[in-house]
Amino acid sequence: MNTLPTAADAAPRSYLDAAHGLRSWLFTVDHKRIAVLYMLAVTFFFFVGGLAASLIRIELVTSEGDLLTADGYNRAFTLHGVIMVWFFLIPSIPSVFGNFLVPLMIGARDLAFPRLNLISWYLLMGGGLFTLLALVLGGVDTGWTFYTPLSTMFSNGHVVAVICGVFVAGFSSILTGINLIVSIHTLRAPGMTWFRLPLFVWSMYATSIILVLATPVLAITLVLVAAEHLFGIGVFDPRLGGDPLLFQHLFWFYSHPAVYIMILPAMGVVSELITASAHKRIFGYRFVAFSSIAIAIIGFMVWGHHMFVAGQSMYASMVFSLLSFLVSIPSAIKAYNWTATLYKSDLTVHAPFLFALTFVGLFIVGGVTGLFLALLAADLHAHDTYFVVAHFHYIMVGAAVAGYFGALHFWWPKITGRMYPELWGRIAAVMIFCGFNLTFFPQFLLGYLGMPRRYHSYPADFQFLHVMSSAGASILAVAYALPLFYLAWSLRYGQRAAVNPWGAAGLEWRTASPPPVHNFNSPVVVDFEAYDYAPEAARDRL
Amino acid sequence: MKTRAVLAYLLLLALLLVQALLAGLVKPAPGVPIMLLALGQALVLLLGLVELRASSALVRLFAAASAFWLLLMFSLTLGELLTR
Amino acid sequence: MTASEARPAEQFEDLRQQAEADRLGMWLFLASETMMFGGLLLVLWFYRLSHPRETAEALASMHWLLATGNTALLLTGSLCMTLALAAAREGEARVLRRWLWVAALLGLGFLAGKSVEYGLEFQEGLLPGNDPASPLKSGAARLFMNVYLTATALHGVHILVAVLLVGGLAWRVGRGNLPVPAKAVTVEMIALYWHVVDLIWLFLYPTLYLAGRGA
Repeated sequence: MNTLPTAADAAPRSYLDAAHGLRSWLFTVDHKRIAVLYMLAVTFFFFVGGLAASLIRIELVTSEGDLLTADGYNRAFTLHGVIMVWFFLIPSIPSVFGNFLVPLMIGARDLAFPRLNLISWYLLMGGGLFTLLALVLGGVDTGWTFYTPLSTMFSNGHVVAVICGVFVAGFSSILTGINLIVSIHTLRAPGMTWFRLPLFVWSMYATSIILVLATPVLAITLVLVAAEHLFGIGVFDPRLGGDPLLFQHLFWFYSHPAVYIMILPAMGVVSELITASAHKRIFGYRFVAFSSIAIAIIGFMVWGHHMFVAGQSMYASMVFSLLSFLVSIPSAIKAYNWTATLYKSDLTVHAPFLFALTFVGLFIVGGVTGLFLALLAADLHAHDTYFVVAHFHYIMVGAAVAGYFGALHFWWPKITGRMYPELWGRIAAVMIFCGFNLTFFPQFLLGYLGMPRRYHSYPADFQFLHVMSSAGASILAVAYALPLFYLAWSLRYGQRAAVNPWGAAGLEWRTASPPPVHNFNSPVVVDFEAYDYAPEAARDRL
Repeated sequence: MKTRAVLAYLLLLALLLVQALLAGLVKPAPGVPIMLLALGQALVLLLGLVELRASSALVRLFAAASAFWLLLMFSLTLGELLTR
Repeated sequence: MTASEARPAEQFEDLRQQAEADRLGMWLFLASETMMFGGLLLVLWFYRLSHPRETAEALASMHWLLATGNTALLLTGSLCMTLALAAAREGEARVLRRWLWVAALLGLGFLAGKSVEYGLEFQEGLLPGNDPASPLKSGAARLFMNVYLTATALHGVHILVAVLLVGGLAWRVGRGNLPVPAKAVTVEMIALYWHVVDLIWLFLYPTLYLAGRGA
């Protein structure tokens, strides 16, 4: 079954030892090194965005606006949103783990366009640092959505500079998407048929479709906003017959699918984590694979649910509401199949599994509350309240970040060649689950009771729930920071990782940890199915 | 390849001429036929000059996918506008 | 260097695989470009449908015959690119170079025509910056002209890139730096880019100049 040699006959040096010095990293075209560069970048942006979130939560401990002015608060949540969406969530799993794992998983030596891959990283860094500079030295008060006419006519912040930064980063997304799709199509090893691909690769493919087809629409929308802001071309200005709703159509044509850019990769990670913990082939492989594609396609048809109360046509609202319900079907298929995979399995509980469970739990809460919001009548009540804030944080933070951390722990041995401290990993996973729920569950209640989003002061009645939320946020902050320390510690003191520490199936576990520069020491031929866990084989591997 | 390209080119010019005649002689210039002619030109260009038919099935799928996504964007947005 | 000596990049097994990857990558990039201009066309049609009368007011002042001539130039350029590709595949470097130069000149001709058009429109007060002279009464007509300017300028930048790419390619062929038919795939990529920029114009042109004229 195993046609590949193991690390025993590994002659070439690992990708980490192949060259040294800063230049060898900054000019590398090795997908694995570029993935590490991305990891450093998104970690930086994650903590910058997290700092802004901390400011927001500290401000909201009291009902008066005492820490930040109203304007300062607007700038803080804009910083939080812009950085987290475009410079952490969107590049996080696709650019870090997609980059590192897709060639390994399909048995290729690199991505199809290695130099383009490096250019993508520089585009993200260029765009990201410029945006950050603009957001810190002056800031923007529009929220990450840049709604017109606020952003075009009334905002006194550095709207155009931030738009430029996001525009540049958008090209990073497009190029990464192209690279992944082309690699998956052309570079699969002999025998690696589509239905032998790990589900992570399927989810990367679906994500890349969105990256390539949605991001350009954001780019042109931002160009129009900048042109309107600078030259007053009137495209979203009612005085010249422009329509702010058109901006919302264009913006959400990108930004709703973008939510799936954030969650689909995490779903792919969870499929890997669940099967590796259960030592069992995933239940309903094809359903899970095609549900990723279905989410990518249907996800493009639901954007109008952001505009139910914005004055869009009632009939369009009804259609968008129905389509929004439909997109929950493929998502539910995944959740059920993961659960079914665990049934009667040979389960090993380790930190990545705990992160996967965290994902499933938080994703279900976030998904089901999404259905409330897709309901026209319920949305009238909950729109623009903390209910919405809680809903999308359950998906984009709770679930997506749990997926990111799960991937980080699961593939850490492969990336660095060292094991992380297992106990600390579990502590972090449990703390994230508890801290997250304490932070965001009260926000459902706040929203239901009528607390609107984006206010720095509020009636004293809401204080109890806000204090709970802020207390949870402090736990969450510690839990998110914790891996930074013990993972750094493990780089030097961690136990050396075996080729396959989890007894997992998949090509990436059949080459050395960390892998050699060209990933595999001998030509790869695949003659086994995805997740070919036999109960006995799994026990042998352990 | 060359003969087909020249024929496609002549057809493209002919369609352009019909468009221009419609715009110059009919008042008001009828939008639907003019846009349908544009669609026809696009097809002639893709099949005659780009040789989409000779490309791999995958390339044709990508071309069809962008057309499908544009259709989604146009139909849902303009549908909203027209039912207000 | 002949075809048999050309070696694929190290992530590929052979040149055929590499050419297929290049082709797919280019198509995806162009799909992305198409979506971007699709967004602009959506803006245009959104306002055409919202303000039909004001759009007709703006259309009445467009130099549509000039644009028709420009369209013919781009279509001819597309033909040249297809013939260039055929020559590249046959290994006819001289023929290839000739068609590439003709295409580049046609692209320059398009840009020249566009510049003349912008100049006329500016004098007539149709473009932003010379509003007092504008014959356009309604806001929505001016809005249409502003989006027209944005769309054609962005398209013009794409044409400029196409001219530079094609001109650069012709220069490389002339210097003997582009062996054909071994590197015909490079010609194919740039021809594809040209065709798609042309394709986008085929929709911009009737949207901006023709449909609803004289209403």
